[in-house]
Amino acid sequence: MTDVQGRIAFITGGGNGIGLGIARSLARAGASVALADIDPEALARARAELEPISSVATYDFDVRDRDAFAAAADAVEKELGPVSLLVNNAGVAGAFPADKLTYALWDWAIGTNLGGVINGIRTFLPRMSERGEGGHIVNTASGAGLAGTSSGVLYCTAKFGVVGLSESMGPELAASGIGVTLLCPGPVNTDIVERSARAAPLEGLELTEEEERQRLERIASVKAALSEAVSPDEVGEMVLSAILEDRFYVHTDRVMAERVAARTQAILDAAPSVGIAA
Amino acid sequence: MIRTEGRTAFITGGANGIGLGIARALARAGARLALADRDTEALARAREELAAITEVDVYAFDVRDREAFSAAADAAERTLGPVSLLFNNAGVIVTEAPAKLSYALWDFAIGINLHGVINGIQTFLPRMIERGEGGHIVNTSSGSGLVAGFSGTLYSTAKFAVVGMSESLRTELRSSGIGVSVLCPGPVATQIVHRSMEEAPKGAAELSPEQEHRRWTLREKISQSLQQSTDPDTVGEMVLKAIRDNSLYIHTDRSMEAAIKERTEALLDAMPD
Repeated sequence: MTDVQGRIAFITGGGNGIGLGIARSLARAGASVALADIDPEALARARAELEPISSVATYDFDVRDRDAFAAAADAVEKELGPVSLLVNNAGVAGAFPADKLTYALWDWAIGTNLGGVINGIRTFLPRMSERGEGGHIVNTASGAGLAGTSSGVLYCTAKFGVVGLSESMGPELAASGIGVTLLCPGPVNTDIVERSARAAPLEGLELTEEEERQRLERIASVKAALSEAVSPDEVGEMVLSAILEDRFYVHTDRVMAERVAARTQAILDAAPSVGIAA
Repeated sequence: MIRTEGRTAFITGGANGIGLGIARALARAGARLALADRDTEALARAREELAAITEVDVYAFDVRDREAFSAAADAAERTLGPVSLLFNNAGVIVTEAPAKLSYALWDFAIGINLHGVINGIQTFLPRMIERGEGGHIVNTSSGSGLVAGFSGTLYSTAKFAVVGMSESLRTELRSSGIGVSVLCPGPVATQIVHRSMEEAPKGAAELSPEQEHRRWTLREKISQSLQQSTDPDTVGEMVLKAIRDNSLYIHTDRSMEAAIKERTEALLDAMPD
């Protein structure tokens, strides 16, 4: 069990959506919260909301910016104290036809969804591990990091990477008293889709009219589906209890169960009969 | 089923190890070869060996270099014709404790093992789609791209991502006649351990001479045990068969079976009722 009371949590993407849900749960459980986001208005709202119940600091930067990450880490430790709960949660979504992708889109999606997690770990893990006071790291992946979905190649690539990173890191950190939780949400009622559509670098993206129509249609349909899904506050509570109980996987629903099982079957069925390896 | 005869294959990491095994199998199956590697001597050796059975051209560049990638693609297609078989195979293995990883190590490992694959896709896929003549893409991941815990965090991060990318691409490209396979080798008798060690930047922490020695001994042991394992030429034949059968997953042995089952069980057990 990782205690939360009195600890300092650093949450990327903490101004909105799942990150804010996690911040609320941690603040109620007695943690101080440092929120990082690229949305300064959301940061101001979150600060105003959480300040009555907890110490709060906010940092306006992009998780792809390593220098800004290091500077925020220094600042939060001066302002609130040593961070021992790290929530690498900032993420973007967006599906585009594979043959129309640009390097700008790859760098945006992989840089934020995977690079942002790497930067969080590189920034905070050495400090946490040096202090020897344990702690907990939560990485937000996705059900789309576990098996095929229609989330697009950018998203699947990055989220599978976060899953592999977390599954590898978890056992490696166990001895140092740092727990790891991998959050693989199904649909959650956030505005990640609109927010990502506004942030995506679309210059150089040359879609046909039909492809553009499909892209917009997809945004609308995913948006509608998410609006009926589980609330970010419920996800926050799930993450809090996973931290307290030191559980590794957090799924928000069973949406991926059949696909995960079918994928495993396909992987096993493809293995050669015994005796090929010398 | 796709034919390989008469097609042009572009193979990264093609001068050594698994890449060379794939090159040999394809050459025997009648494909023309463009081999990319950073190792110029190995490229010269591979060219000399394979030129006897097929047309070969070689390109010395680092798969992290996007401009070099695109220039190599132009040159290969001028010399050998349109590339419709793509092997994103170049890879390195570095193991280091998560708390000791420097950005230089992250960038080295993710840059080659993941972005090298992305750069290959980004360079060739639009050309392949536009031509409409089908083709096949094989991305080299690893057994460690299916279950973590065997080769360190850097390696699993990139190799999982390559598996996710391949699964997603396969579904998306189905209607375009371009097949996608992901190669998830177990132990293969290659020099990847030594080669990677020579090129890897330093970690965040300075090691004492004893630590350096311990690490060297461990890697030497791993490398020696690899030499007892599957031959790269056997892997090449497996890859060739997978292209013909359009199989998604290519395993070289059953070494990950128990771990895969155990992981899936843990994943499913953690799902809410």
